[in-house]
Amino acid sequence: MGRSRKLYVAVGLLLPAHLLVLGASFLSPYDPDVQNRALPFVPPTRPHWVDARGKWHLLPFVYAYMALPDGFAAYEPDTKRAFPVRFFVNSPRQQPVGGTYSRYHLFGTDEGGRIFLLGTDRYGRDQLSRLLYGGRVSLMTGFIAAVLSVGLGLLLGSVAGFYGGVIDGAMMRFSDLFLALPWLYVLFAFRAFLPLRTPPRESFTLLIMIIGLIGWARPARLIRGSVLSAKNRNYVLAARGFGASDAYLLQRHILPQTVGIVVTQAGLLIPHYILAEVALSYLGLGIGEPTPSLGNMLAEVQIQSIMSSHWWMLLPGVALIPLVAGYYSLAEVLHQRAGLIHD
Amino acid sequence: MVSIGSSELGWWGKMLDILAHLFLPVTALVLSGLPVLVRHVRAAMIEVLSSPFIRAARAHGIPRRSVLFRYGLRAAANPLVSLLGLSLAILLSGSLLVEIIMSWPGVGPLLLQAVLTRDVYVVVGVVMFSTLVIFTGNLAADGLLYVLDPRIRND
Amino acid sequence: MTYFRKTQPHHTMIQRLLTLTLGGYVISVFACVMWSGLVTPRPIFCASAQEPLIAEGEVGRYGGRLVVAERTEPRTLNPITAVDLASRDIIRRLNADLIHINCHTQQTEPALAKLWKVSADGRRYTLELRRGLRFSDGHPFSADDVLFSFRVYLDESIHAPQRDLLTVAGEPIRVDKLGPYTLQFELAQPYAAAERIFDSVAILPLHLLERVYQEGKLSTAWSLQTPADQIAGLGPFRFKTYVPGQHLLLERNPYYWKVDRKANQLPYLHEIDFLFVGNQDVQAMRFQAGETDVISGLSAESFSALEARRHDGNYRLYDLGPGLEYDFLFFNLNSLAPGAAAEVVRKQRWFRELKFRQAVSSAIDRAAIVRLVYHGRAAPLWSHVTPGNRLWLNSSLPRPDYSLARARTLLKSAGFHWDSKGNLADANGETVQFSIITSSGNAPRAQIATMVQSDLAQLGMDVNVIPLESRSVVDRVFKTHDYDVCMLGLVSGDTDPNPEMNVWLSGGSMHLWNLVERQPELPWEAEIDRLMREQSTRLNLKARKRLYDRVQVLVQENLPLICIVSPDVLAGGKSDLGNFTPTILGDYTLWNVEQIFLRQH
Repeated sequence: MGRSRKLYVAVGLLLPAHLLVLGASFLSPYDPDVQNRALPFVPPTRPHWVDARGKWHLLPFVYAYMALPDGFAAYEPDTKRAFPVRFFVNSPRQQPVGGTYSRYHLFGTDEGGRIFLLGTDRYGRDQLSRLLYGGRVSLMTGFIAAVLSVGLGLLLGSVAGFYGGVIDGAMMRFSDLFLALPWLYVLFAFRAFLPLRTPPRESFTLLIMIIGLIGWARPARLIRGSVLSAKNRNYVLAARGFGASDAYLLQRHILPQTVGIVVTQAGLLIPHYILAEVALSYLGLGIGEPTPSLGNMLAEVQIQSIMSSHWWMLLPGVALIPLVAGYYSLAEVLHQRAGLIHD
Repeated sequence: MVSIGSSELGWWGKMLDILAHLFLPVTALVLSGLPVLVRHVRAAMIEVLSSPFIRAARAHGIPRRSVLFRYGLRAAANPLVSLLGLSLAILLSGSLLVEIIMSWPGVGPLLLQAVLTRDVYVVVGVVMFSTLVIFTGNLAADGLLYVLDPRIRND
Repeated sequence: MTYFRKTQPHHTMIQRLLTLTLGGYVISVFACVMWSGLVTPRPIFCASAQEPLIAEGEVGRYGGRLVVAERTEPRTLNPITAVDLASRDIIRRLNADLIHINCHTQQTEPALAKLWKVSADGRRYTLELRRGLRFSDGHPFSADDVLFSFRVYLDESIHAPQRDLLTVAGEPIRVDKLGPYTLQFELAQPYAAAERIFDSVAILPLHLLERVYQEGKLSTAWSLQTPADQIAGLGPFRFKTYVPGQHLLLERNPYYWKVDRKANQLPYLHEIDFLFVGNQDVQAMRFQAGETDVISGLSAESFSALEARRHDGNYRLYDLGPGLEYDFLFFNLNSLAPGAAAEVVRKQRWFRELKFRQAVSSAIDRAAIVRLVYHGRAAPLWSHVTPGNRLWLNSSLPRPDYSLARARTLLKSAGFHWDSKGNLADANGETVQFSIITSSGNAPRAQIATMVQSDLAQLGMDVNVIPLESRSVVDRVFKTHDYDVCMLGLVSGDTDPNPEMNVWLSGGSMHLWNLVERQPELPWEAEIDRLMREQSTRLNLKARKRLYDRVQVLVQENLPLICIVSPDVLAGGKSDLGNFTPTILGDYTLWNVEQIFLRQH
């Protein structure tokens, strides 16, 4: 009972998040790096169903923003200019943006109107679009880095477990090193030895590689244990007696035993690595402007006055919660399914 | 880390001053590490509380709270103390970000500055220092476990 | 858990411990908050000078301590070796100069020299010193100290930064002693701003430093660990204590030579406390909380935040208008060796094209930068002289508006075209792509770079911004010349154009965009060289202004630097500070610290 409930919770948190992020180019009304310089720090737009005269509309509409003359980033809805919210909008491309994008957007408004469901940042960029695209970047980083880590752990762990002896000893001592060090410190240390800034595409790859290289030790250990125990099973010995090669043994008999561990570890590492990417980008060491990522969107709120006056800038942090919670629940479910702990 | 004019307080005043400034960073770190500990202690306690000696203690009339904390928790201390050593590493990593955000002049901002200014010697030094802290912590945790849990001694 | 039912409470060890800890913590926090054991030391008052300087300003009252936040720690108290801002801030409070530039009026006024005469050819300056002055340790002051100071500054083996400032037309200034209180300074050729070169040249005490100088240990003297009685100066304050990582305390100089209009000896304050606070954000928060009395170097963000909460605290904020800082973009125009950095050489074909630079300048939306990055508290720039420098600004310079259409026309006429995807390509078909390096520590500059990137993307240029730490930027610009475009800012120390000579002269050490050339390569560079050299020798202000106006026109037409914006100088101080008048020159808030007083303390 408890098990399937946890699974529903995990899937319920993760599936919508991933769908949102995968459909970023369709779901976001604007491109993430289009600057609306007249509208910095706009609060989230409220869709209205009842207009100023009291008439009720079926479809929602938004008011245009009117900047108040005194002060910076102070706005009032201009009730004289209302723009209906339209669905399945066909917007022309606004600026060349790397990556995929579509011409069709789920919702938008007419020309001259702006719908900022999560407000804008300092340059007037729509936060909802940036959140979706940024979530995509952060998730991809975490995902690919986790795959890299687990893959590396699988390789090294199975080699160590299968061949044993000196190779095993050396590899395990090496992995001891990575286990003993605090992961964030090691991450920073790796980052320090590499060029501080590179063009966006390269920095993305660099980041994935760095993050992936810090967490391979635990999966390697667990896989080694599993390989060790599988190595001496009867059917493996029998297959060896029949003349099976090492590669065949590994591929056919031993490695399938480790699938449970691999999946569980991946489930644990993904949220870990998402947080690692967020930490690095927050401190300016990860993904650079103008590419959005959850981390560098949060970097804006390092300044206390922005955090207190513009609360919607904290939403990328809130968006992390379902992601991380979902992945941890998923990891626990997988852990239990793999039979490694008894509740 | 300290208030203005703190160099003129006596040593007791200085300590109180630092404690007051420690409140927020410590709360942040404690809250982040608490759930994992709670879960493990809960699991261990459930296991311990179903053992016969607890039932015997209760039958002797020892009050509930005493049985829980004096008898049950002692027996369930094993995973807690092991986690103490493990959580040291996690806390150290967590404290890096917390220190940077709360302007606590610890190792975190030092490491960040060193990374930003490419001062690789400081980076290496900081990583070694933190490793040393973790080693010592784990050693101390192991020692503590040895003292607390006679079952380990007998093995 | 059905075994348990409620019994009477029985406190176990753990419970007692918990209660004790929690209670102890609460009590100690409470006690800490109630603690107020600050002891105010009593200052010393001694006889003032025979010929004091009478300072104009409100007559104040004695007492109190001024708390100032510093972002970085100073490194030394030695005027000869101090190059960082924090050290220089503190050293200026400890020392005095012969002729001082009043930051408020921006004109020179007598300081240690009570009057001076200029010879007819403008080369010889005869200064009369005040009599009866004493250093902060009581030792009398005379022309010997000045002679010693200048000998030290001009000594080639010491490499004092002041040596460059005291060098006119390649030759160092010559000092002769004509009497116990009279000195003569001789320049190699008439120099327009000769009086201004004495400003901030601290006069060192002969009796403390002569032996150190003769032993050759002058560059290590007066470090932060030096005991306070071995440091003396003629400034309004003297060094008292330094606690590393926390604060540096200065106390009142009992022998100071300035008095107010009622013949009360200055300074009014008993102490200045420089606190080392981490970053700008924390500084602003502490100022808002009332923990510090004075704040300068505010960012526009913090200023708006402080302004919004003005009613909670008792402080006043000052927006002094554009200062002397100008932020600009420049292209790598160094003639590099053929092998090195072939990528950069390829891009220089675009950078050297004047129309390309003009198009970039036309495509930068300066008004939006002023609005978004500085909240309106900055001035857009079209030349390197800021509106804050009213005396030297060429007000008839054209100010072309932000126009993408004009930029596109310029690019088209220079042979560029747009390909099918909208990217800009040159005549050979190569897409225009370059990177802008900037210093990562400066948040507004990074924000400007982001906006410039977006602006240039509208033209089809593929630009990426690379924030690097300042050492790396300096390395690339000055040593390896391995960069495409750089965004930096410069602050003039003075309104006069002479201190900026090494930026504009072709062989100058700060000729940022082309440090390789020793001789001017283009006719307009030769023209700027000639104009700058001539204006430094002319003594007539109008003639100099005409020449300098022409320099500004040439810079705007040829765009070696694309000047973008000049931020306002923002400062704040508690409401009960008297004589507190921040200015855009110098160190903004403490230039008249000897006259600042606390109305109640």
